[in-house]
Order: sequence, then structure tokens, then C-alpha cells
Amino acid sequence: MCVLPSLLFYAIIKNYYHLAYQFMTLTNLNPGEQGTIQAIHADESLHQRLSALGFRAGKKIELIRKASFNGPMHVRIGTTDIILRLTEASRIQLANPN
Amino acid sequence: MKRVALLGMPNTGKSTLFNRISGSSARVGNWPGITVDLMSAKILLGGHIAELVDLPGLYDLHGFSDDEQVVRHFLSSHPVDLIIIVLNSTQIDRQLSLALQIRELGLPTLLLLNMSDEAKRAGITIDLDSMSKQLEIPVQQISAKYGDGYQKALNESARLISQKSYHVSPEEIAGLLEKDSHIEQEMEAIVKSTVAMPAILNDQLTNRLDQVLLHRWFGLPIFLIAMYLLFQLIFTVGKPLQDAVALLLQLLRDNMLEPLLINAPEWLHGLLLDGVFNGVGTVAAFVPIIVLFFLVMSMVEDSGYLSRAAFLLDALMAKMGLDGRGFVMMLMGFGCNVPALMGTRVMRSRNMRLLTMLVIPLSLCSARMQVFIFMTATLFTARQAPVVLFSLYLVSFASMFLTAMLFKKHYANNEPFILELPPYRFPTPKQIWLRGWNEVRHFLNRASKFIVIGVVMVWALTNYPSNVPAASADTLAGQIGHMLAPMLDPLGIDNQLAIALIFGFVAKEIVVGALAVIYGLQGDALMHLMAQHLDWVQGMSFMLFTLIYTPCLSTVATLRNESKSTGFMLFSIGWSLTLAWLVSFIFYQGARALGF
Repeated sequence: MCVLPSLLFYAIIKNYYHLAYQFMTLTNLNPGEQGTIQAIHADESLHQRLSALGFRAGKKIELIRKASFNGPMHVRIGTTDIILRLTEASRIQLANPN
Repeated sequence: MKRVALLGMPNTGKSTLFNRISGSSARVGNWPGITVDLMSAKILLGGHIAELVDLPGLYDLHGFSDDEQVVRHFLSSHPVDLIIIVLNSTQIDRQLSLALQIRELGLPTLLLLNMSDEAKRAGITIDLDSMSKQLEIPVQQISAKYGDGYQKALNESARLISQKSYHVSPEEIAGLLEKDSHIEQEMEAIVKSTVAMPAILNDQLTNRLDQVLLHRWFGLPIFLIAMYLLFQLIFTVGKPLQDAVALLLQLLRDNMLEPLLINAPEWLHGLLLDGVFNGVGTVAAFVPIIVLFFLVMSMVEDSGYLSRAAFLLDALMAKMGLDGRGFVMMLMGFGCNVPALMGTRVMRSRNMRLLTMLVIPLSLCSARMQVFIFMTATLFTARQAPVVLFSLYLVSFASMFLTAMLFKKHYANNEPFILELPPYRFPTPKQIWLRGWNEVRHFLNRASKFIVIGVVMVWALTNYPSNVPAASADTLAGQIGHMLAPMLDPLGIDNQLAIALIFGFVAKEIVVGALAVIYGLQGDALMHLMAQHLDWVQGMSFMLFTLIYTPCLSTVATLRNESKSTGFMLFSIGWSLTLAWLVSFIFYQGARALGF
């Protein structure tokens, strides 16, 4: 009986939890949309890895597509195409579009 | 002897360059303290014999991935006379940081900007002189794939290595590696003044292919069909080749070795022919499959499709503690475990590699299939047989899944899943061929001794003491089978089948042959006798045990080589034996309890 409400609750949490953090991340982009990286919230090793692949503050990033079943995302920074999981994508803060 | 280290980011064509320089003379070297295989080759460079070492690809000299640690460990423990850095011309705007980091080490360095062909197509021009002046190291542009600029680069390396220059000791490098340097700004300054890039550089063909191959709904089916076709290709071409190798060996045995040994004492005859020669034969039978597998794999890998497969399957594999690339190897394991294990080298994290290697031997390979086809034909009707075979595939998948789930904590890896998607490329035939050939040599070098020793041991077990019939209950193998009876009786596996299992340790292909020797019958007569001897519950239990208990000796040898750990190999065998026993026990006792 309580399956439906909890599913609904889950859907709401999933879609709006980023608002609690007050910032927009890479996971909020839709395929075809662009954003500008504002900050990367990651420990040193992940930070280094991301920056070696071109994730740096100020860079434009485009979401090309998402894999089905909550799989990884395919993004493009400049000339480089990269795939990364949602957990890593959620660490990348984007500037607000306005 | 001088030592040259080849170093660069992943996907820059570093290995292509290495293969071009070394030809087919590359060897897998042994480096103390290093857990991955480093290929090295002796080359002639400006009158010096130099050792060229191919270091793993890395993004950042200060990074924390396993590969990055290997490179640091290597540079701080082995003296190097020249570092050749390989970067991708089309991504120089972000890759130059690595060159700046290496430059800090103060070793003689040559920077090669590879993929000049792709850069030209994309309209990227680089002012090499200016870049070289600003970096204070020589810079050249090459295409390792087509050979443009290659000779010039070699001459420059020869010049650099001949200079009687300063020497930086590994200890000093270890110290330098500790320091972090602020490289970011310098990189941007150099890129700005030396590289001209079109504002947006989109490879239209790659984009269009991706739209189909990475499609939300069609991507996975296309991948599965592609894998199925490659699989079919490997095994429809490979099987006749394997048969041809077997035929050649048989001819060699009948016409050369048998007459040669006709006067030899019986034990020597047996040892050399049934022991050593069969061992060599076992190894040789894998050669065609490994060549074909790596021809196909290097096509899949170099074309850029492997990273795409990882994209499509990562959601599923992440739940098993693995990543998308592991799936391709698991799938290949259903053909043959050996090359699938060797293929796990594409993974950067050691823990993830080990977990994948633990799972692969549980896949129902084509050799095990032969045993199952024989057993099902013996014990089941033509209508039941396909169902039984299909259920064995399901058990195989289930045991892989279970193993991954159980051990994913133990082999936890915090490896973030971030992969570059390279543009689609056509690998050149030379590239593909060198790869296939090097892998086979690697397998032969490392596995042959181990396998020959194993085959000789099994031969001895089933032939001694020499005054009783081979493979009978009175041989050492029979006695071991008798000793194991308390373990195997609850599974419904009798003494004869136990001896077959001992043979099966060498290779599953010889299990049916072993049964023929054990029962002293062949073909229909053997099937008839076994059908009288065993009921279907026993047969099924035997098949389940055969499926899981241990991969073949070649797989075991490969497990040890690839993990560089005898402990891991023993653990893998131990786990599969335990799992096999449990599965067979539950099945056999369950079926009996239900009254079958």
C-alpha cells in the first residue's frame, strides 16, 4: 500500500535534492545542454584526475548523452569526449545559467 | 647500457610507437617491486645499445592510480638516460602538463607530439620551435601509426642519448617527485602562444557513429550482436586451426617421435610422449585462439569501441563492483578463459583487475562445453539436452555474479570511472598483427613450463605404479580418488569420475578421452556403459562440479602470470573448488531428497 507514496517521495528527493545544496551540478544538465564549470568538489586524487582530463573552472562543458539504467554520462570539454559515472558528475559544480 | 623510458598519457599511441621502434623484439621484463608487466626491447640507438621500456599510460605524474604509482616507482628506482614523452597533438591543450611535470625531473627529455595525421585533419597547427624554446626540451611531431617524422625522432633520441650530460640519480628523482609544482599557468601560456586550434573541433563521423552505437535503446543490442559476431568469428576460424595444429602434432608423433623412441624403455616412452609431448600439445592448441582473440581485441580496442562498450554496460557492472570494460572480458571468457584473463590488462586498478580475474574462470568455456555435450548426449534425451546445456550456462552466469558480489568488498576499488572516448580510428594491419604476435609469445614464454610440468605430473599420477593398468583404480590417481571419496561421495561422484576430474585439471578437452581410458571403452560403447553406471542426478552433479571446480592448467598458469601472485592463484583455485563442492552438494542431496 505504501509503495506508491514512497516511490513518489523517492522521485521528488532524487530530482530536487541538489536544491538543498544550493548549487547546480553536471548531473542537472540535459543532453544537448551546455554549462560552465564553476568548481570541482573532490578529494585530491579525483581532482587531479579530472583536471588532467580537462575539467577546470571556467571551462565550457556539454552533456552529449546519458546511458540507460542510470549509467554513466558522456560529456564534451573542448575537443575531448569523456564518460563518467553520476557519482563523479555530481562533484562538478556548474555556474548558474543566469 | 643506456635506458630509455617511453612515457605518455593513455590513448596517445604510445604503445603503437613502442611496437614500431621495437618491431617484434619486445620482451616482458622483470622489474623488482613492480606488479604489472612492463614491455622492454633492446634497440640500437646512435651506436649505443639501449633498453627501451614502455611505461604504463598516466595522466599525472603525481596521480594516485596504480599505473601512476608504477611509473613513479620505476623512475625513482631505476636510472634512466632519456625520457621520451608521447602526447596527442589534438589534445595538446590539456596534455602538455605532463611534459612540464617530467621536465622538472631534469632528465634528458624528448617530447613527441603524436597523431600528427589527425591534428592535420582537424586543422591544429603547432609552432614546434617556439614550444621547444619555451619548454627548453626538443619537441617533434610524429605519426606513430603511419611513420611520419619517425626517423627524425629516432635521430634526435640518438643525439640526446649520446650527449655526455648530467646524470640525475633515482634518489634525486624520488625527492623531486615529492614536490608538487605549479604548472597550470605555464601550460596555458605555452599553449596560447604555440598552438592554433579551431574553436570547435567536431569529428562529424565519430558523432554520427556514436548516435547509433551509443543509442539509448539500440546501443546495447548492437553491442551484443557485434560481440556475438566477433565471438563466432574467433571460434569458427579458430576451431579448424586448432584441429590443424592437433593434426600436425599427431603426424609429428606418429611419423617422427614414435619411430625414434621405439627402442626406448617404456617409462621413458610414456614420459616423453604422453607426458612432455602432450603438454606441449596442450600449450600449442591455445596458440590459434590467442592470436585470433587478440587480433579481434586489438581491433575493438584501437578502434575506440571498447570504451563505448564500457559506457553501455557500466550501469550493470557497477553493481558487481566492476566496470564496463570487465564485461567484454567476461563475455570473451565464454570462448576461452586464457585470453580473457590476459585482456584484463586494460584495467587500471589492480583490485578491479583481480576481481575480474576471479570471475572469468567461472565462465563456461568452449572446452568445458565438449564435456557437457558428451555427458548430456549420454544421460539425457535429445529433447532434454538443450535445456540442460542452457541451465549450465545460467549456473555459470549465476556463479560469476555471486562471486563478484561476495568479493567486491574485498577487492574494493575507489577507482573513479572516468574514461576518455577517443574518436573512432581504423587500426592498421601492422598494429593489429604485432599485438597478436606479442601476446602469443608472452603466453608461450610464461605458461609453457608450468603447463608441461602439470601434464607430466598428471601423467605420472595416472601411470604409476607401472604394474597396473593406466588410469585404473590402483594407480596413484585412483588412490587419490579413493582418498577423496568421503568428499566426493556426497556429490554422487564415484571413483572413476574422480580420476576423470584429475585429468580435467590439465584441460577439459581431455576429460572425455580420459573417461575412455578409465572405462577401457570408446564411442557408443562408452556412452552405453556410463548410462548404465550413472543416473542423471549423478551426471548433472558431475557436470556442475566440472563447470566450477577448476579452470584448466593454462588458465591457472595465466592467472599466476597476470596477477604476479601465487597466493591469488591458489585463492582462486580454492574458491572455485569450494563453490563447486557446495553447488554440487546442494544439487545432489536436494535432488535425492526430492526422490529423484
